[in-house]
Amino acid sequence: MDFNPSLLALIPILPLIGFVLNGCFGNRMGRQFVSIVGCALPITSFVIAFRAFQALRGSESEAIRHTLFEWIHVGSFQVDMAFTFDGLSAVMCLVVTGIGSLIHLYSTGYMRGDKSYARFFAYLNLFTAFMLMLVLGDNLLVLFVGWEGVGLCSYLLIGFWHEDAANCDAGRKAFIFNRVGDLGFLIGVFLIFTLFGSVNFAEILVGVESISDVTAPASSLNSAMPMWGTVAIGTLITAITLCLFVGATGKSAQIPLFPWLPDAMAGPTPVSALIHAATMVTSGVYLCCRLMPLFSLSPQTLGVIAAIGACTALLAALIALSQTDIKKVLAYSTVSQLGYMFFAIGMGAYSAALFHVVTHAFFKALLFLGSGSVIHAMHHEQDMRKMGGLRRQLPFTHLIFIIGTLAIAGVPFFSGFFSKDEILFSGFFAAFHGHDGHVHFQDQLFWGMATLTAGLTAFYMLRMVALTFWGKSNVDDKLVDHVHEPGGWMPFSLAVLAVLSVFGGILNVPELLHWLPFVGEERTFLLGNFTGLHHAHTGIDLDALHKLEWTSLIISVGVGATGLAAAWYLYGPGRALLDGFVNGAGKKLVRISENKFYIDEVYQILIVTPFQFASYVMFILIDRFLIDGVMVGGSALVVRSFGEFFRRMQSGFVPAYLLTFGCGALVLLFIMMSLLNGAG
Amino acid sequence: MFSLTSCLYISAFLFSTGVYGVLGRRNILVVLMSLELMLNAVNLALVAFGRAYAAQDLAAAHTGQIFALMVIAVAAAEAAVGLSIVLLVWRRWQSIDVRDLCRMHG
Amino acid sequence: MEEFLKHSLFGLSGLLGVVCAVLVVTRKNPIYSALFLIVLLGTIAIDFFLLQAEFLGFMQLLVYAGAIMVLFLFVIMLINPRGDSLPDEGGATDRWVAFGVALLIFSLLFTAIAKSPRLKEFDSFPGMAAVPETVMGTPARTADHGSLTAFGYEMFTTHLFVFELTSILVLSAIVGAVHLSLRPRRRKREETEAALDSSHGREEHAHV
Repeated sequence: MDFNPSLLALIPILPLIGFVLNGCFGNRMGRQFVSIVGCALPITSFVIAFRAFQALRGSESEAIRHTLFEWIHVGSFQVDMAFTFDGLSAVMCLVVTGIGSLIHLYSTGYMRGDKSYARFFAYLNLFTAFMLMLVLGDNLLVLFVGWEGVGLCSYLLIGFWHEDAANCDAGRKAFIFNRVGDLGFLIGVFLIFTLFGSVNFAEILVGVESISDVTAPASSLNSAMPMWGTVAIGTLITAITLCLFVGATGKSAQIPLFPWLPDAMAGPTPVSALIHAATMVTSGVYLCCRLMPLFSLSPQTLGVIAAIGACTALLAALIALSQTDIKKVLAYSTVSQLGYMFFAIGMGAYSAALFHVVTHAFFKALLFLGSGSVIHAMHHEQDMRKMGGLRRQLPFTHLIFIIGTLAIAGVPFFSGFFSKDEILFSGFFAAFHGHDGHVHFQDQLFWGMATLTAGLTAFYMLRMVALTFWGKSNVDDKLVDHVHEPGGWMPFSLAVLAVLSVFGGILNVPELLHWLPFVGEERTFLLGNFTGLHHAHTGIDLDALHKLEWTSLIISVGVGATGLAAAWYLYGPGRALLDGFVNGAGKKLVRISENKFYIDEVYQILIVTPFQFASYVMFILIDRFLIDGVMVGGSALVVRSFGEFFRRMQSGFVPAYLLTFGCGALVLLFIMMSLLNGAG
Repeated sequence: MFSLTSCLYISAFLFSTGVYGVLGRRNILVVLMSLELMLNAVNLALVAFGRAYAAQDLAAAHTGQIFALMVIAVAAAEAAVGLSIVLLVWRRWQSIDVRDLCRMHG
Repeated sequence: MEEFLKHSLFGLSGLLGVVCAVLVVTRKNPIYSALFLIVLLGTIAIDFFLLQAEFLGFMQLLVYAGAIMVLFLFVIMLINPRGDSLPDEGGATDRWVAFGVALLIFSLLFTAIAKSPRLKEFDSFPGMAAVPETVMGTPARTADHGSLTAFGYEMFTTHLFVFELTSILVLSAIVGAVHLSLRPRRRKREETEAALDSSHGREEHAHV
């Protein structure tokens, strides 16, 4: 199929046009115009992306490339505003435009009554444009522009309802946490340029190949790197990848930079679904996948990533257990699932990570939009303790939630099952077989944590469903009659996402399960093979591998089922047992979880307080004393004292002027005389 | 007796007398007249110098005279503006005292 | 004989000028100052004639004595200050300070003139250079009005720029003087406008 490469540029530009139209004229043109512009352009982007995807599949070439314009050409530093559409970008692009379009459609209903309707769609379109730039970027700088742009939009949309100071604080928190990560990212980019002499992905990967190929001459690397002469290249690559990972932890909310994401729920729910669940937060994972060969060169970095991923997954799941805000539960769940993805990357299972990005985008967008429906129905009530028994009034939303929960809990043949199972299997493989034949204790530990998280995930998700939809109603009497199912385009978006959440797993069915319907031998690992990220496990014969896979699968399904069963029992028939535990033996544990392991307090003591103290000292010393006192006040004092002095001369008293003038003339005359005398 | 130096002496004397009138008197009209006096002193010097150089170059004499003519024009302008101000000051305060001019700055 | 006449005329006019100058700055009543100033301007015009600057001498009489001094006299007559409306001429200190400054300036100028060696070369006004026969094809020495043609030629060629500048200066002085003397009439008009405003109401005024 023919595909004009220059159309590639349209994919991010169309939403950008939407931003300009909605931002400049939206308020004047009315809601109809805003809705049409806001939704039609991302959908067009999706259509173009899909056409490009088909063209890519049908062709032999690895990628479709298009250079929009030359951006920076300084000496050997050449950067173009260029886009690359390869397997990885294609997957991300389709996710961003597809789910983005659905969420745009959903928002037309959800934001219907908002007074800043046009502004919302302008921001949402801008976000889509930047996100597409991020995933399509041909080099690290274009990626960085998108990276910062989505951060900006995230900030703008978290603080969308800026009349409330708490929302603005949440936006600032997100922005500052992201800045910390971005610093790491930038340093990583600088180091990459020093090592490879380029920020272009293709050229970086060529450099990486020449490093991993021992026989390659060193000259293929950037020859102008004397400062690195004494540093081993391995150490440098570890440093680069760690720096990039710091950037990823900021954007993807990993330890230690995750506390902003739960606070980001202050934004409108479609925003939480699009930015803080489906797309932007996965850009860290995308970055790691994009530079997979580079990350693979540094086992140390991969170890760190695995550790942080596993810890984040477990910690966030533990916190999610006790949250009462429906969106906070989903937020911590997102953090936890992102931890899973990084765990997979740490285990070297990039395709599993990307697969989980995709399926997570399906079911988490579904859950968020579902929670949006609940919140919409409850007139912006988010506390689950004030819900309960909504199943009767919101049967459709209930169904949506059940599907989402089953998908995220890893119930067999839902989309989450496939991706989560693949991740857990990669952990299981490392823990009990070992990539190099050796088994490491920390791998077993990480796998244990990940498995435990799977159980906890199933538990807290079903807890959420139970608290919201089951049991007796705690809804405010005034609200009861107003609870209603969403209208307009909202059910459509939910239905599409529900279908994707159920059947999304077909994208990357493992070879083990090729006997499933619609699959077959040749249709396994579609996603992994298409993106070129899939690596078959080596050093083991097929029977033994299958045995391991079955074991892992049974364990993870068993753990998930246990979590679901426990939640069903404790929040149903066994409620008394739970209450007894919460008020008795487990009181302290629950409090720790409720208080998010005191992470915010630790930040307060370790960073915020010293920073505030330093700021205060700076304020007194530099601002008040040096700038206000010495520089501003001092210059004013000098001017004023001169003024005081010369003011006396400007008395308006003409004889005084004349006298001054006469004396001046006298002095001049005298000087002229002396000069003439001296000359003559 | 009729020589450049004596012209210059007269000019210097008239100029100094003008300086005294400007600095020492408080009647605006007299001050203005003293200014005219000083300008005339300068004119005299200019023309005398021009005449002295005319033996070598006729244009030098003309330059001095043209300069003096310009000074006369400037003096006329100065007198016109100065005297109208004096009239206004008189209308406002019934005074022609130089010291009262400082009341103009409010 | 002619030389002697020149010298004695110069001496008399110089002496008269000096005396008049002193009287100009010392008379209490400005009308006397103005009259003595007119005499002084006349003596300077005589000096101009002696210095063979005939045109300038006529200008001096016409413009200075004829126009500027008439203006002065008009103003004095309009104001007609006499008696207590004349400013009190202050204490002796002010006068002594002024006298000191004037004396210093005079002594400086005097020393400069007395000591200058170059002045002696031209001291006695040697004969003037020949006036050119023609200027721009026009005979320059047609009558007895000295070198006026050459003077005019010089003024409108070499010094044209200064001439134009001076004309602008005089123009702006005229505008300034007219503006200053027009002020009271304008205030009157504003008053009538204000009266109209209050009687017709604001909206109608805004419409206008």
